[in-house]
Amino acid sequence: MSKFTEAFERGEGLYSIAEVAFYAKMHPNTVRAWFTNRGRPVFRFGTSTLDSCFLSYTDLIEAIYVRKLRKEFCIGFPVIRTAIDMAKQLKKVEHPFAHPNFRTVVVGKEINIVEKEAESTMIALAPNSGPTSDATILEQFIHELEFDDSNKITKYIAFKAPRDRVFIAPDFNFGSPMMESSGYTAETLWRAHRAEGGIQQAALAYGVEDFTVQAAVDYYDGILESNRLLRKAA
Amino acid sequence: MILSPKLFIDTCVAKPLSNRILNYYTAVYPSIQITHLTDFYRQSRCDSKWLPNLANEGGWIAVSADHGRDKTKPSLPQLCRDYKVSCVLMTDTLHKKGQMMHQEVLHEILRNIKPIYAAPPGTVISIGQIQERGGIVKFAFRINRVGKPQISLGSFLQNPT
Repeated sequence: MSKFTEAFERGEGLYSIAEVAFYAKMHPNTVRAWFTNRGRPVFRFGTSTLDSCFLSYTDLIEAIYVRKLRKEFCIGFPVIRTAIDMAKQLKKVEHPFAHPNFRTVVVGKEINIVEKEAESTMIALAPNSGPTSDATILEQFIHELEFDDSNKITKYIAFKAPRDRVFIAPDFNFGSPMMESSGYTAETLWRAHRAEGGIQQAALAYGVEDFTVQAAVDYYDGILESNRLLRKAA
Repeated sequence: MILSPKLFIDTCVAKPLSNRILNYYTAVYPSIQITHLTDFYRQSRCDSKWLPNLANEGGWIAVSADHGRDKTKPSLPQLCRDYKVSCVLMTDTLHKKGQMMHQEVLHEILRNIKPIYAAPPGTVISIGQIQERGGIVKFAFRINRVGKPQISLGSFLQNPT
């Protein structure tokens, strides 16, 4: 059995740098710098067991969340790295931002966690002496994720429409974003709406509801637009 | 004559189309089996379960357009090679033409099911359209071999090395 097949059967997910960049709405060079960067990654090494030039599902999820922390709260890598190391030491968790028992709370540029069982106690993972502001509890971090019994992430909700959702699971459709109601990939329905000439025609051809195709088109167009803007900015 | 062709259809082809093809060919091949990937999704069977199962059952031909978003990344064709499941991949041009073309592709595959089954399990066959003199368009099956140039399915069957 090849190394690739072994990685596939473990269900760890396999993404290229370009794919992670595409789904996380980042520039490929940024992803490369975060996880490989010629042996000195800015964030950490990728966790794929197949090859150092590939990334795992965990890497994809962390890329999405770390991007959010950096972009929405302007938190730097030293603070993020300290928070992860501290969570490892204090609570023995590898991924504190994506763990069902913790809520991430950002106060100014400080990262804290609140345990599910002791919600009144906030634990500072990465104290910061900068200006403080109101605490922001990142509930969405947890509500966008689904876990199995061993607290392993099984599903990431990438897009929510009123009547359907797009999710990414490492072991379904080879890790591509897919529609929860039907099992088609978002890209398939997006392509179908272009090939068949509209939302209704695509829905009819693929035997799904109009709102499913609409959600796929909204999600995929959003990603394409972000990537187009990134390329333009670069 | 192959009496019981077994086609496994990826999500790139619509499920209603695969049902129509199944109904159409049941008269010709009474024990034909056509399974769609969304059937496995509805049964919550993940990729790492259904693909080895198909390989164990044997005789399945996967039909897909999934060449992988990133050409450097191993994807369905690579897994098909590893699990010895033959795979017919339609070209991106055909895939973009919509379900009428997908229907044509499935008919073409079933018309040529015998040579497809004659190829060793795990062979990745590409189906595309070629234009001949006079603007005549026809389908062509080609074999994708790792590190070697593409050849036609006919040439490959005559000289598999």
